[in-house]
Amino acid sequence: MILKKHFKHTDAGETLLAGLEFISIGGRPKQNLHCRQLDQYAAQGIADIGKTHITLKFLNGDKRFKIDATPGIYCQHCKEHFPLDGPEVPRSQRGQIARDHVAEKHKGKKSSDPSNPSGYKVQSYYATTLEQ
Amino acid sequence: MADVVINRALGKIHQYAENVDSNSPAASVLRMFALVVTGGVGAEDNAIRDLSTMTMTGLFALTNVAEATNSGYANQQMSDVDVTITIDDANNRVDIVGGDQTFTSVVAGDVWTDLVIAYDAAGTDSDAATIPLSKHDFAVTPNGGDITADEPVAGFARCAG
Repeated sequence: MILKKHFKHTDAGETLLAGLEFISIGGRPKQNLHCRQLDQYAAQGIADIGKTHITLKFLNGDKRFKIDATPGIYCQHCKEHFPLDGPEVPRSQRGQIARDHVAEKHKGKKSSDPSNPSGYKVQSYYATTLEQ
Repeated sequence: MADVVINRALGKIHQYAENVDSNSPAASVLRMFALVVTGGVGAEDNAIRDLSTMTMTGLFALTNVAEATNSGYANQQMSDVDVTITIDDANNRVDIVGGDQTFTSVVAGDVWTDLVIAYDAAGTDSDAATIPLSKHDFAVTPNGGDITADEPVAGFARCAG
C-alpha cells in the first residue's frame, strides 16, 4: 500500500498532519494492517476499527477493509487461533500455549510454513481485504 | 529504524519495497535474517555496509559474520501485503513499514547481535540473489521462547532526499 502524508500550517507556525492520501493498494487488494500503525492512525482519527471491518479515512475518500484474520497466534497445522493479549492469555505465556498445543495435537508433523518451523505463527496485524 | 543502510541499497530501498508492494516481480519479498557477529553488536558494520548479496561470497563470507543457526530459527518473509510505503512531501522523505516480525520457539545456542532486511526478487530464498538493504542492532539471547523484532511506527527504513 502506498500513502502520502499531507500537512497543514497553523497561524502559530506549527505544521500538523492534515491526513493521509491513498495512492494505491499494491499488487493485490489484500493488506496486513499492522497493530502499531493502526493504533497511531486511530489516535489521529484516521482509523476506525470495527468487529468485521476497518475503515481508513483518507483525504481522497474512505477505504473499507474487511477483516479476514485478527491479530493472534495461529497454529500452522490446524489454524487454531490464540489471542495475543487479554486476561486469559498473558503476553509472557502466549508462546508457551501455542507450543503446548503443537506438541499435543501435531507432534512430529512438519510445519507448512518455512518461516515458522515451530508450527505456529505470531501475527501482529489484521489481515484484510480492501472492499472499496 | 535502520542502523546501517548497505551501500548497494542507497537510494534504492524505496524502489525495492515498491517492487514487493506491487508484485513486480510477482514472487518478490523482503526477508529478515538474524546475524551472529563476533565482537558484538555493530562490530562489523563497516564491512557489512560494503556487501552486495547474502551469499557466501557476500555478507556471509565475512569471517566474523554468520546467520543464526539456532534450532527453530528461520528467516522471516514480508510480502506485498505486509509493506506500506508512506510518502512525506513536507519532510522530503519516504518511510517503509514491513511490520513486527516474530521468530517462534528459537532454541538456545547462538547469541544474536543484528538483523538484516534484504530484498529477494525471485522469492526463492537464494542467498546469491538476495540483496541486503539495512542492518539493525538486535542483541538477543534465544532461550526457547518467541523473539519479536518490534518495528517503530515509522517503519524499518527511511529514505530522505
